[in-house]
Amino acid sequence: MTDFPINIAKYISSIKESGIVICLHIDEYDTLVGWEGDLGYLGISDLIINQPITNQLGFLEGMLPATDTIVLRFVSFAEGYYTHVHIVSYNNNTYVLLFDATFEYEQQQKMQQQINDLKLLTLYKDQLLRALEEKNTSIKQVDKFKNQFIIKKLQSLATACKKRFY
Amino acid sequence: MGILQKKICMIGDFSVGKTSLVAKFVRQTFSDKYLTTVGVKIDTKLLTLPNGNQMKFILWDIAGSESLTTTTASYLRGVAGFLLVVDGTRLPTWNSALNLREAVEKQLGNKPFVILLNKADLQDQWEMDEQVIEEKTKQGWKLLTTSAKSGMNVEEAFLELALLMT
Repeated sequence: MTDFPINIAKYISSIKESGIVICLHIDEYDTLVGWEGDLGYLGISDLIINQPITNQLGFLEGMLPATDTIVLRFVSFAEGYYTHVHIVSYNNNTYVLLFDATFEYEQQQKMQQQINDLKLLTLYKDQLLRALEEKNTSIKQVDKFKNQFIIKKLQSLATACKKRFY
Repeated sequence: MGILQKKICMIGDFSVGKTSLVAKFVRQTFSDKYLTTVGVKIDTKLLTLPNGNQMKFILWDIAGSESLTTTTASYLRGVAGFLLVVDGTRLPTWNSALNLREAVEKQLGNKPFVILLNKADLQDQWEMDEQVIEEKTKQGWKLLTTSAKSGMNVEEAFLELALLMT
């Protein structure tokens, strides 16, 4: 357990995310100073204080130290758990706030799935139409050759008949 | 010496197979069912390099997008390298990949990357232009034909990126 600055508390109350689940306090050397919240709720097994945070939560690799506030929407670092991550810089320290986004994720995922499925269906329909058009063109081409061949044959037959009867 | 940890991002249009490639690489699993990713899914994998050194990949599997949105850009912070995934059976996803690469370069500067022409198991539906690929290879770009389904070049793709980062 750790004490969090009033400014961080103010930040949390100022944003529109649903309930905060975990708050991490990280110093300027990327070491975990303290944390509060229910780790298991977001699929995190354990955290060790005074140890580098990037070794414990790999997703923070490259993210620290934060110089400004970073918001990452719908982050999943454990199967079935989704969070909105806010990385807030304050007094040379970084505060990582994890908000549960599982319900919101499920809604969003269903919607996005339908959009993408529809896009794919449209694309496949276009591909089939293109293939159909190509087939149609080649059939027309074959027909044209066939007709030309028949005309030539008929003409040569007519010439042969003329020679025979006249 | 500690194990080197690198943040890697998977980027590309929707339904190109980013999640499937990660699943194959990390868990040796594959599913034909398409499940849209929303936000970002984070996985880790320890890789042994040809020189015997080990590298820990923090894999960010980012929701598919044809262009770089502000949300996608926030996920890219601190990235060490990226895999640009293309669906070889959908030519527009190649153009999306080119746009994304250019946008990432503008945002983060030159970062190592490998282009993966995925879904090689669907060769009868292949839409990629060999000449364009050859042209990019001549420019020094790394391109690999992959299949998350068969596992073709999956390990090699991640290893190739690891080597570009050492």
